[in-house]
Amino acid sequence: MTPLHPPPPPDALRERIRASMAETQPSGMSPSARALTSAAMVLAIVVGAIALIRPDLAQLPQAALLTVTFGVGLLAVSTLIVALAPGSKGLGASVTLLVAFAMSTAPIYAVVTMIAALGASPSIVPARNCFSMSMGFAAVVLTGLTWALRRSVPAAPIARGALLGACAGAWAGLVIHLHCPSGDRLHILVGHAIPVAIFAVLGAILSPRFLRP
Amino acid sequence: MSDQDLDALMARYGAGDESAFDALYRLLSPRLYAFCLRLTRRRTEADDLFQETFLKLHRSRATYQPRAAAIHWAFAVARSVYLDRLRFQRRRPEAVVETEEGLATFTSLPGIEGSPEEHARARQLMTIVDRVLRDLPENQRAAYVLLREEGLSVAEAAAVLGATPTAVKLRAFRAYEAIRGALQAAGITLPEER
Repeated sequence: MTPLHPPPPPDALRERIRASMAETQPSGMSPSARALTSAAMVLAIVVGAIALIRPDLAQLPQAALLTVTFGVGLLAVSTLIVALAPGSKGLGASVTLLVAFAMSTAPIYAVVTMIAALGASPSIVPARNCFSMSMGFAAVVLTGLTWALRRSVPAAPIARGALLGACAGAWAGLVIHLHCPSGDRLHILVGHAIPVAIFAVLGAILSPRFLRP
Repeated sequence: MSDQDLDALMARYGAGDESAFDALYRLLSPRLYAFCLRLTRRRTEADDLFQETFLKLHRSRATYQPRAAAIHWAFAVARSVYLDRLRFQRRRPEAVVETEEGLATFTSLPGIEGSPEEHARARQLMTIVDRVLRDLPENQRAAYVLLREEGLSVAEAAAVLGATPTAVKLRAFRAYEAIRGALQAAGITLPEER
Protein backbone atom coordinates (compact mmCIF):
# COMPACT_ATOMS: atom_id res chain seq x y z
CA MET A 1 0.00 0.00 0.00
CA THR A 2 1.19 3.52 -0.72
CA PRO A 3 2.91 5.12 2.26
CA LEU A 4 0.79 7.79 3.87
CA HIS A 5 2.08 11.26 4.62
CA PRO A 6 0.30 12.79 7.57
CA PRO A 7 0.39 16.53 8.09
CA PRO A 8 3.03 17.67 10.59
CA PRO A 9 2.01 19.09 13.96
CA PRO A 10 1.41 22.85 13.77
CA ASP A 11 4.26 25.02 15.06
CA ALA A 12 1.88 26.79 17.43
CA LEU A 13 1.31 23.47 19.21
CA ARG A 14 4.95 23.25 20.18
CA GLU A 15 4.77 26.64 21.88
CA ARG A 16 1.57 25.65 23.68
CA ILE A 17 3.23 22.47 24.89
CA ARG A 18 6.28 24.40 26.05
CA ALA A 19 4.08 26.84 27.98
CA SER A 20 2.06 24.03 29.60
CA MET A 21 5.19 22.12 30.53
CA ALA A 22 6.58 25.14 32.33
CA GLU A 23 3.57 24.93 34.65
CA THR A 24 3.74 21.14 35.15
CA GLN A 25 6.13 19.52 37.59
CA PRO A 26 7.48 16.11 36.58
CA SER A 27 6.63 13.39 39.05
CA GLY A 28 6.47 9.65 39.27
CA MET A 29 9.12 7.29 40.55
CA SER A 30 12.15 6.08 38.68
CA PRO A 31 12.31 2.31 38.18
CA SER A 32 15.04 1.98 40.82
CA ALA A 33 13.11 4.06 43.39
CA ARG A 34 10.08 1.90 42.64
CA ALA A 35 12.02 -1.29 43.32
CA LEU A 36 13.42 0.13 46.55
CA THR A 37 9.96 1.19 47.76
CA SER A 38 8.58 -2.25 47.04
CA ALA A 39 11.50 -3.93 48.79
CA ALA A 40 10.95 -1.70 51.85
CA MET A 41 7.31 -2.65 51.87
CA VAL A 42 8.12 -6.34 51.70
CA LEU A 43 10.55 -5.89 54.59
CA ALA A 44 7.83 -4.15 56.64
CA ILE A 45 5.44 -7.03 55.93
CA VAL A 46 8.03 -9.62 56.94
CA VAL A 47 8.70 -7.69 60.18
CA GLY A 48 4.92 -7.52 60.77
CA ALA A 49 4.60 -11.25 60.17
CA ILE A 50 7.39 -12.03 62.65
CA ALA A 51 5.89 -9.68 65.25
CA LEU A 52 2.50 -11.38 64.91
CA ILE A 53 3.77 -14.93 64.67
CA ARG A 54 1.53 -17.60 66.21
CA PRO A 55 2.68 -19.06 69.55
CA ASP A 56 2.19 -22.73 68.63
CA LEU A 57 4.60 -22.87 65.70
CA ALA A 58 7.05 -25.14 67.50
CA GLN A 59 4.34 -27.74 68.10
CA LEU A 60 3.31 -27.96 64.42
CA PRO A 61 4.66 -30.58 61.99
CA GLN A 62 7.72 -28.73 60.75
CA ALA A 63 7.87 -30.22 57.26
CA ALA A 64 4.26 -29.27 56.52
CA LEU A 65 4.72 -25.84 58.07
CA LEU A 66 7.80 -25.14 55.98
CA THR A 67 6.15 -26.42 52.79
CA VAL A 68 3.05 -24.26 53.20
CA THR A 69 5.03 -21.19 54.27
CA PHE A 70 7.42 -21.63 51.36
CA GLY A 71 4.50 -22.09 48.94
CA VAL A 72 2.67 -18.98 50.13
CA GLY A 73 5.91 -16.96 50.22
CA LEU A 74 6.79 -18.07 46.71
CA LEU A 75 3.33 -17.04 45.53
CA ALA A 76 3.70 -13.59 47.12
CA VAL A 77 7.19 -13.03 45.69
CA SER A 78 6.30 -14.25 42.19
CA THR A 79 3.23 -12.01 41.95
CA LEU A 80 5.36 -9.06 43.06
CA ILE A 81 8.04 -9.80 40.47
CA VAL A 82 5.51 -10.11 37.63
CA ALA A 83 3.64 -6.97 38.76
CA LEU A 84 6.83 -4.89 38.78
CA ALA A 85 8.62 -6.49 35.82
CA PRO A 86 9.45 -4.03 33.03
CA GLY A 87 8.73 -6.73 30.41
CA SER A 88 10.64 -7.31 27.21
CA LYS A 89 9.22 -4.14 25.61
CA GLY A 90 9.58 -1.93 28.69
CA LEU A 91 5.80 -1.61 29.03
CA GLY A 92 5.35 -4.23 31.73
CA ALA A 93 4.68 -7.95 31.62
CA SER A 94 2.35 -9.20 28.89
CA VAL A 95 -1.35 -8.91 29.55
CA THR A 96 -1.66 -12.70 29.35
CA LEU A 97 0.84 -13.16 32.16
CA LEU A 98 -0.73 -10.40 34.27
CA VAL A 99 -4.22 -11.85 33.95
CA ALA A 100 -3.03 -15.43 34.51
CA PHE A 101 -1.26 -14.47 37.75
CA ALA A 102 -4.07 -12.20 38.94
CA MET A 103 -6.71 -14.89 38.43
CA SER A 104 -4.72 -17.81 39.82
CA THR A 105 -3.27 -16.25 43.00
CA ALA A 106 -6.37 -16.61 45.21
CA PRO A 107 -7.17 -20.23 44.14
CA ILE A 108 -3.53 -21.29 44.56
CA TYR A 109 -3.37 -19.63 47.98
CA ALA A 110 -6.61 -21.35 49.03
CA VAL A 111 -5.47 -24.77 47.83
CA VAL A 112 -2.01 -24.55 49.42
CA THR A 113 -3.26 -23.34 52.80
CA MET A 114 -6.39 -25.51 52.98
CA ILE A 115 -4.85 -28.83 51.91
CA ALA A 116 -2.27 -28.62 54.67
CA ALA A 117 -4.45 -26.83 57.22
CA LEU A 118 -2.17 -26.55 60.22
CA GLY A 119 -3.30 -26.21 63.82
CA ALA A 120 -6.17 -27.06 66.05
CA SER A 121 -9.15 -28.31 64.05
CA PRO A 122 -11.93 -26.32 65.74
CA SER A 123 -11.82 -22.66 64.86
CA ILE A 124 -10.68 -20.84 67.99
CA VAL A 125 -10.53 -17.47 66.24
CA PRO A 126 -13.59 -15.94 64.55
CA ALA A 127 -13.10 -15.83 60.78
CA ARG A 128 -14.16 -12.18 60.73
CA ASN A 129 -11.09 -11.27 62.81
CA CYS A 130 -8.73 -12.82 60.27
CA PHE A 131 -10.80 -11.42 57.43
CA SER A 132 -10.51 -7.88 58.82
CA MET A 133 -6.82 -8.28 59.51
CA SER A 134 -6.14 -9.64 56.01
CA MET A 135 -8.11 -6.81 54.43
CA GLY A 136 -6.22 -4.25 56.50
CA PHE A 137 -2.78 -5.64 55.63
CA ALA A 138 -3.70 -6.00 51.96
CA ALA A 139 -5.02 -2.43 51.85
CA VAL A 140 -1.68 -1.13 53.12
CA VAL A 141 0.29 -3.20 50.60
CA LEU A 142 -1.96 -2.29 47.67
CA THR A 143 -1.74 1.40 48.55
CA GLY A 144 2.05 1.20 48.71
CA LEU A 145 2.42 -0.72 45.45
CA THR A 146 0.00 1.55 43.61
CA TRP A 147 1.91 4.56 44.91
CA ALA A 148 5.19 3.03 43.76
CA LEU A 149 3.81 2.46 40.25
CA ARG A 150 1.76 5.65 39.97
CA ARG A 151 1.59 7.23 36.53
CA SER A 152 3.82 4.58 35.04
CA VAL A 153 1.42 2.07 33.45
CA PRO A 154 0.15 3.31 30.09
CA ALA A 155 -0.76 -0.17 28.79
CA ALA A 156 -3.10 -2.72 30.45
CA PRO A 157 -3.62 -0.78 33.72
CA ILE A 158 -6.65 -2.87 34.72
CA ALA A 159 -4.75 -6.16 34.43
CA ARG A 160 -1.79 -4.63 36.28
CA GLY A 161 -4.12 -3.28 38.98
CA ALA A 162 -5.71 -6.72 39.40
CA LEU A 163 -2.30 -8.31 39.82
CA LEU A 164 -1.21 -5.64 42.30
CA GLY A 165 -4.37 -6.38 44.29
CA ALA A 166 -3.76 -10.14 44.17
CA CYS A 167 -0.14 -9.53 45.18
CA ALA A 168 -1.26 -7.39 48.13
CA GLY A 169 -3.69 -10.15 49.13
CA ALA A 170 -0.95 -12.78 48.88
CA TRP A 171 1.40 -10.79 51.17
CA ALA A 172 -1.43 -10.27 53.64
CA GLY A 173 -2.17 -13.99 53.33
CA LEU A 174 1.43 -14.80 54.25
CA VAL A 175 1.16 -12.72 57.43
CA ILE A 176 -2.18 -14.23 58.40
CA HIS A 177 -0.89 -17.75 57.68
CA LEU A 178 1.94 -17.21 60.16
CA HIS A 179 -0.36 -15.53 62.68
CA CYS A 180 -3.59 -17.51 62.84
CA PRO A 181 -3.60 -20.81 64.80
CA SER A 182 -6.89 -22.06 63.32
CA GLY A 183 -6.85 -25.26 61.27
CA ASP A 184 -10.49 -25.05 60.26
CA ARG A 185 -10.77 -25.09 56.47
CA LEU A 186 -13.89 -22.94 56.35
CA HIS A 187 -12.15 -20.39 58.56
CA ILE A 188 -9.10 -20.41 56.26
CA LEU A 189 -11.29 -20.01 53.20
CA VAL A 190 -13.34 -17.11 54.58
CA GLY A 191 -10.75 -15.37 56.74
CA HIS A 192 -7.57 -15.94 54.73
CA ALA A 193 -8.26 -16.81 51.08
CA ILE A 194 -11.32 -14.75 50.17
CA PRO A 195 -9.54 -11.43 50.94
CA VAL A 196 -6.95 -12.36 48.29
CA ALA A 197 -9.70 -12.70 45.69
CA ILE A 198 -11.45 -9.55 46.90
CA PHE A 199 -8.23 -7.57 46.56
CA ALA A 200 -7.62 -8.81 43.01
CA VAL A 201 -11.02 -7.34 42.12
CA LEU A 202 -10.43 -4.15 44.15
CA GLY A 203 -7.04 -3.68 42.49
CA ALA A 204 -8.63 -3.95 39.04
CA ILE A 205 -11.25 -1.36 39.98
CA LEU A 206 -9.35 1.15 42.13
CA SER A 207 -5.73 1.12 41.00
CA PRO A 208 -5.92 1.91 37.24
CA ARG A 209 -6.81 5.60 37.71
CA PHE A 210 -3.61 6.06 39.70
CA LEU A 211 -1.49 3.84 37.50
CA ARG A 212 -2.25 5.59 34.21
CA PRO A 213 0.20 8.34 33.23
CA MET B 1 18.53 9.95 13.45
CA SER B 2 17.34 6.47 14.37
CA ASP B 3 14.99 4.98 16.93
CA GLN B 4 18.04 4.25 19.09
CA ASP B 5 18.85 7.97 19.12
CA LEU B 6 15.28 8.67 20.13
CA ASP B 7 15.51 6.11 22.96
CA ALA B 8 18.76 7.66 24.15
CA LEU B 9 17.21 11.14 24.07
CA MET B 10 14.19 9.92 26.01
CA ALA B 11 16.45 8.29 28.59
CA ARG B 12 18.34 11.59 28.98
CA TYR B 13 15.09 13.52 29.27
CA GLY B 14 13.76 10.97 31.75
CA ALA B 15 16.87 11.47 33.84
CA GLY B 16 16.07 15.19 34.02
CA ASP B 17 18.14 16.60 31.14
CA GLU B 18 15.92 19.46 29.90
CA SER B 19 18.24 20.19 26.97
CA ALA B 20 17.15 16.93 25.33
CA PHE B 21 13.59 18.17 24.83
CA ASP B 22 14.02 20.03 21.54
CA ALA B 23 15.67 17.12 19.75
CA LEU B 24 13.21 14.73 21.38
CA TYR B 25 10.24 16.77 20.18
CA ARG B 26 11.67 17.00 16.67
CA LEU B 27 12.10 13.23 16.44
CA LEU B 28 8.99 12.15 18.28
CA SER B 29 6.38 14.60 17.08
CA PRO B 30 5.78 13.53 13.42
CA ARG B 31 4.92 9.92 14.24
CA LEU B 32 3.18 10.74 17.49
CA TYR B 33 1.04 13.43 15.85
CA ALA B 34 0.14 11.04 13.01
CA PHE B 35 -0.91 8.47 15.60
CA CYS B 36 -3.03 11.08 17.42
CA LEU B 37 -4.70 12.03 14.14
CA ARG B 38 -5.54 8.41 13.47
CA LEU B 39 -6.96 7.91 16.95
CA THR B 40 -9.09 11.02 17.13
CA ARG B 41 -10.08 11.48 13.47
CA ARG B 42 -10.31 15.26 13.96
CA ARG B 43 -7.55 17.81 13.70
CA THR B 44 -8.57 19.88 16.72
CA GLU B 45 -9.00 16.78 18.89
CA ALA B 46 -5.66 15.47 17.62
CA ASP B 47 -3.99 18.75 18.61
CA ASP B 48 -5.43 18.48 22.13
CA LEU B 49 -4.51 14.81 22.43
CA PHE B 50 -0.99 15.48 21.17
CA GLN B 51 -0.51 18.32 23.65
CA GLU B 52 -1.89 16.32 26.56
CA THR B 53 0.24 13.32 25.61
CA PHE B 54 3.38 15.43 25.66
CA LEU B 55 2.39 16.81 29.04
CA LYS B 56 1.90 13.29 30.38
CA LEU B 57 5.23 12.24 28.90
CA HIS B 58 6.81 15.21 30.64
CA ARG B 59 5.05 14.58 33.93
CA SER B 60 5.83 10.86 34.08
CA ARG B 61 9.21 10.99 32.37
CA ALA B 62 11.01 9.56 35.41
CA THR B 63 9.04 6.34 34.96
CA TYR B 64 10.41 5.74 31.46
CA GLN B 65 12.18 2.39 31.33
CA PRO B 66 15.48 2.87 29.49
CA ARG B 67 15.07 -0.51 27.77
CA ALA B 68 11.72 0.54 26.28
CA ALA B 69 11.36 1.94 22.77
CA ALA B 70 10.52 5.60 23.35
CA ILE B 71 8.11 5.76 20.42
CA HIS B 72 6.19 2.71 21.70
CA TRP B 73 5.99 4.25 25.16
CA ALA B 74 4.71 7.49 23.63
CA PHE B 75 2.09 5.59 21.60
CA ALA B 76 0.96 3.76 24.74
CA VAL B 77 0.67 7.05 26.66
CA ALA B 78 -1.24 8.68 23.77
CA ARG B 79 -3.69 5.80 23.64
CA SER B 80 -4.11 5.85 27.42
CA VAL B 81 -4.94 9.57 27.26
CA TYR B 82 -7.31 8.94 24.36
CA LEU B 83 -9.14 6.18 26.25
CA ASP B 84 -9.49 8.51 29.24
CA ARG B 85 -11.10 11.04 26.93
CA LEU B 86 -13.44 8.41 25.50
CA ARG B 87 -14.49 7.42 29.03
CA PHE B 88 -15.16 11.07 29.83
CA GLN B 89 -17.20 11.49 26.65
CA ARG B 90 -19.26 8.38 27.45
CA ARG B 91 -20.06 9.80 30.88
CA ARG B 92 -20.91 13.21 29.42
CA PRO B 93 -22.18 12.60 25.87
CA GLU B 94 -23.70 16.08 25.71
CA ALA B 95 -20.17 17.50 25.66
CA VAL B 96 -19.47 15.93 22.25
CA VAL B 97 -20.87 17.46 19.09
CA GLU B 98 -20.21 15.42 15.94
CA THR B 99 -19.72 17.48 12.80
CA GLU B 100 -18.05 16.83 9.48
CA GLU B 101 -15.84 19.88 9.89
CA GLY B 102 -12.19 19.46 10.70
CA LEU B 103 -11.98 15.77 9.86
CA ALA B 104 -8.36 14.71 9.80
CA THR B 105 -7.00 13.53 6.49
CA PHE B 106 -3.84 11.76 5.42
CA THR B 107 -4.11 12.57 1.74
CA SER B 108 -1.03 14.74 1.22
CA LEU B 109 1.17 12.93 -1.29
CA PRO B 110 4.63 14.46 -1.41
CA GLY B 111 6.41 11.16 -2.11
CA ILE B 112 4.36 9.92 -5.05
CA GLU B 113 5.69 10.18 -8.59
CA GLY B 114 3.97 9.11 -11.78
CA SER B 115 1.23 10.09 -14.16
CA PRO B 116 -1.72 12.24 -13.12
CA GLU B 117 -3.88 9.12 -13.36
CA GLU B 118 -1.66 7.24 -10.90
CA HIS B 119 -1.64 10.25 -8.62
CA ALA B 120 -5.43 10.50 -8.71
CA ARG B 121 -5.77 6.78 -8.08
CA ALA B 122 -3.44 6.93 -5.07
CA ARG B 123 -5.36 9.88 -3.69
CA GLN B 124 -8.65 8.02 -4.13
CA LEU B 125 -7.17 4.99 -2.37
CA MET B 126 -6.02 7.04 0.59
CA THR B 127 -9.31 8.87 0.85
CA ILE B 128 -11.09 5.52 1.12
CA VAL B 129 -8.59 4.22 3.70
CA ASP B 130 -9.07 7.43 5.71
CA ARG B 131 -12.83 7.09 5.62
CA VAL B 132 -12.90 3.42 6.57
CA LEU B 133 -10.42 3.94 9.41
CA ARG B 134 -12.49 6.81 10.76
CA ASP B 135 -15.53 4.55 11.00
CA LEU B 136 -13.77 1.57 12.60
CA PRO B 137 -13.93 0.81 16.34
CA GLU B 138 -10.99 2.34 18.20
CA ASN B 139 -9.31 -0.98 19.03
CA GLN B 140 -9.31 -2.12 15.38
CA ARG B 141 -8.10 1.26 14.18
CA ALA B 142 -5.25 1.37 16.68
CA ALA B 143 -4.16 -2.20 15.90
CA TYR B 144 -4.21 -1.51 12.15
CA VAL B 145 -2.30 1.77 12.44
CA LEU B 146 0.41 0.31 14.67
CA LEU B 147 0.92 -2.79 12.51
CA ARG B 148 0.39 -1.43 9.01
CA GLU B 149 1.33 2.22 9.17
CA GLU B 150 3.85 2.35 12.01
CA GLY B 151 5.41 -1.00 11.16
CA LEU B 152 5.40 -2.42 14.68
CA SER B 153 5.61 -6.17 15.15
CA VAL B 154 2.58 -7.98 16.57
CA ALA B 155 4.36 -8.38 19.93
CA GLU B 156 5.24 -4.67 20.03
CA ALA B 157 1.70 -3.61 19.13
CA ALA B 158 0.31 -6.00 21.76
CA ALA B 159 2.56 -4.38 24.40
CA VAL B 160 1.48 -0.87 23.37
CA LEU B 161 -2.22 -1.77 23.31
CA GLY B 162 -2.14 -3.94 26.43
CA ALA B 163 -3.74 -6.82 24.55
CA THR B 164 -2.75 -10.35 23.56
CA PRO B 165 -0.95 -10.85 20.23
CA THR B 166 -3.89 -12.94 19.00
CA ALA B 167 -6.35 -10.15 19.78
CA VAL B 168 -4.15 -7.59 18.03
CA LYS B 169 -3.86 -9.77 14.91
CA LEU B 170 -7.61 -10.30 14.86
CA ARG B 171 -8.37 -6.58 15.23
CA ALA B 172 -5.91 -5.63 12.50
CA PHE B 173 -7.28 -8.36 10.25
CA ARG B 174 -10.82 -7.04 10.68
CA ALA B 175 -9.64 -3.51 9.89
CA TYR B 176 -7.77 -4.75 6.82
CA GLU B 177 -10.81 -6.66 5.63
CA ALA B 178 -12.99 -3.58 6.05
CA ILE B 179 -10.54 -1.52 4.01
CA ARG B 180 -10.22 -4.22 1.38
CA GLY B 181 -14.00 -4.44 1.08
CA ALA B 182 -14.33 -0.67 0.66
CA LEU B 183 -11.56 -0.58 -1.93
CA GLN B 184 -13.09 -3.48 -3.86
CA ALA B 185 -16.39 -1.65 -3.93
CA ALA B 186 -14.50 1.26 -5.48
CA GLY B 187 -12.86 -1.01 -8.06
CA ILE B 188 -9.42 -1.24 -6.39
CA THR B 189 -8.08 -4.68 -5.52
CA LEU B 190 -5.79 -5.39 -2.57
CA PRO B 191 -4.05 -8.74 -1.97
CA GLU B 192 -5.66 -11.20 0.46
CA GLU B 193 -4.50 -10.74 4.07
CA ARG B 194 -2.35 -13.71 5.15
